[in-house]
Amino acid sequence: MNLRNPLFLLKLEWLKFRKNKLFVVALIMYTIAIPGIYLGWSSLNISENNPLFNKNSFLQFDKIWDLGAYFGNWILFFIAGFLGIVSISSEILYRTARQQIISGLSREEFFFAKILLSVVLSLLFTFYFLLITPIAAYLSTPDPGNLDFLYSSSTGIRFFLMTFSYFVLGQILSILLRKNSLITMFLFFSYAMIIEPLLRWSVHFKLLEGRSFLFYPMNVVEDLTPMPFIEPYKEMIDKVSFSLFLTTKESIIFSIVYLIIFISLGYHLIRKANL
Amino acid sequence: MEKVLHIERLTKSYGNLIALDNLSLEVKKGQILGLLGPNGSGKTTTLGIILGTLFPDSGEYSWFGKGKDSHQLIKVGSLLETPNFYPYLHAYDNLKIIAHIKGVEFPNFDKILAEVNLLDRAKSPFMTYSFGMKQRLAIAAALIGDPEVLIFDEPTNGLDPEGIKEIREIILRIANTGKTIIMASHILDEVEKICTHVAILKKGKLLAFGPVGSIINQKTNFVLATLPENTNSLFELLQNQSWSEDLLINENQQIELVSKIEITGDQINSLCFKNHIVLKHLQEKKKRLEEEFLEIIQNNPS
Repeated sequence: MNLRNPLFLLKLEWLKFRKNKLFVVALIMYTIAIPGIYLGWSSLNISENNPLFNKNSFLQFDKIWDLGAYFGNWILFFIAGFLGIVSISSEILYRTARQQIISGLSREEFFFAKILLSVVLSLLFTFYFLLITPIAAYLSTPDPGNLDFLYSSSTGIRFFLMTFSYFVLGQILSILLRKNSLITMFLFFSYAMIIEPLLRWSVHFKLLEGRSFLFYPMNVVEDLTPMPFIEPYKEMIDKVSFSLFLTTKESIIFSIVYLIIFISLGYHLIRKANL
Repeated sequence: MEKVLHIERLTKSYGNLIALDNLSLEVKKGQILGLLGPNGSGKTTTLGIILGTLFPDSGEYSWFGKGKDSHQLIKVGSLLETPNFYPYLHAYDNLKIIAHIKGVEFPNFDKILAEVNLLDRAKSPFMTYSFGMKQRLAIAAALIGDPEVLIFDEPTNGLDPEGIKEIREIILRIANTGKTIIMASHILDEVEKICTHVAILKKGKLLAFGPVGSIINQKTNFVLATLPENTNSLFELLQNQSWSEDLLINENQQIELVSKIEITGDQINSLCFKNHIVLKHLQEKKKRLEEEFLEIIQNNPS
C-alpha cells in the first residue's frame, strides 16, 4: 500500500480543516450538547412520584451512562454524520482531492487520512463524553462517595464504535454519491430515518420471520447505545414473540463487521474512481 | 538525455467516444513539450492519466523510469484544468497543504508568491481571488519544492488579455530556467515561442510529434515583384532553378515562389541581379506553427 505515516496524514487533515467554519461550529455544538443532555434532563418537568419513571435515577450511576449514550447517539448521528460527509464531499465539490492527487498524494493516503480523522475525532468525542458524564453524575448523586466509574466497561467502546460508524457511513455515502454536502446529508438522514425503517418494518419484517430485520446497518449502530427507559416496559416487551433490540454483543460485533465492509468499499471506490 | 516521461499506447474511452487512441510519447529532461490539438483531441485526458486522476483503458506510462507510483508526482508541479483550492483558506495556508504533500520542510512561499505576482494578496481567502489570481496561485503551487517537471494545462484559458500576458510571462521565465515542461495549449503563438517539441493530437490520435523545427515545414516561401515587362523573364529564371518547387503569378502580378530547400532572400536577389532583373519587392514568408498545425489537422479528417 502506498502510504506515508499516520502523523503525516493527520497533519494533512489538520491543515485542511482547522479553519473550516463548519467543522469548528460542529465541534462547538458537540461540546455544548453533551453537558446539555444532563442539564436538559434535570430540568424536565416529570413528577418524581411517577412509579415507572424516576427522572433523577437516570442522572445517577449507573443509569447515567445509558442516558448520556442514548442522547449522545442522536447528537452524533447528526454531528458525526455531518462531519463525515463534509470531510469528503467538500473535497469533491472543491476538486481539492484531485489537486492533492496531482501533487503527489496517493489515493490510499487520501482515503486513510479521512479514516484516521474519523478515528481521532471519534476518540475525542468519546473521551469528552467519558469526562463530562461522571461529573454530571457526581453532581446528581446524593452519596457521591459511592461512585463506580468502571460500571459498564463497554460504554466507552460502544460510544466510540457508534461515533466512528456515523463518520464512516457519512464518508462512504459521500464517496458513493460524489455530490455536494447538502444532497448527501439529505440522503444520509433520509436513509437513516425513513428508508431503512421502512425497509425493515414494511418489507423485511413482513417477508421474513425472526430477528434478521434488526441487522440493518443504521439499526446496528443505534442499538450500540439503546434506549435506557425501556426497563419499566420490559415485561410488556418480553410478551411479544420477537425482540426489538440487538444484544450488546451483537451490536458490537455487527457494527465492526459493517465498518470493515464499508471501509473496504470506500477504499475500493477511491482506488478506482476517475477524479 | 535522461527520460522523464514515457507513454506507451495509452487508450481511453468515455462510452462510445474514444478520447485517446494508442498514444505513445516520450519526454526527455529539459524538453519543453507543447501538446496541441483542437477541443476534444485528448490533451487534458492525457494529462489527467499521467497525473493519476484518470485511469486508461489500456496502455502504460512511467515517470522517471519508475512506473506510475503516485509519489513520483512529488517531483512534478501541475496545473490541471482549473485551479482547485480550499476557498476559506488564504494563499499561504493552501500552499502549506501542497508543501506538506510534497514533503517540503521549509518552503519559501514569499519567493514563490512574488514570482507569480500574488504576494500582496497572500493573506486573502482563495474565494476572494479573480480567476487570473487563482490561476497564478495554481502556478505557485506547481512551483513548490522546485519540481523537475512542470505541467500546464491550458494555463491561459478563461483569462482576460492582461491575465494572458502575465501568465505567458511567468511561463516564459520558468521555461528559461531549463526545467522540463509539458504544456497543453490552444495558443499556438505561445507554444511556438516557448516549446522545443510539439505533439499534435486529433480525436485522441497522435498526428505529429517531434522538435518544433521538424514539425514546421522547412520550405521557404517568397513573394517577388519586378517591373511589369520583366515579370515573365523573372518567372522563367526562377522556373529553371533546381530548388524551385512551386511557382505562380498572383492577381497583383507578383510571383509566389516555394523553394525546396532553405534559401535566403539575399541569394534570390543576387541571382536576379546577375540576370539583369531588378526586384522592386522581395518578401520572405516562413511557415508558422499555426499554418502547419492547421494543415496537419485538415489533412487528417479522421
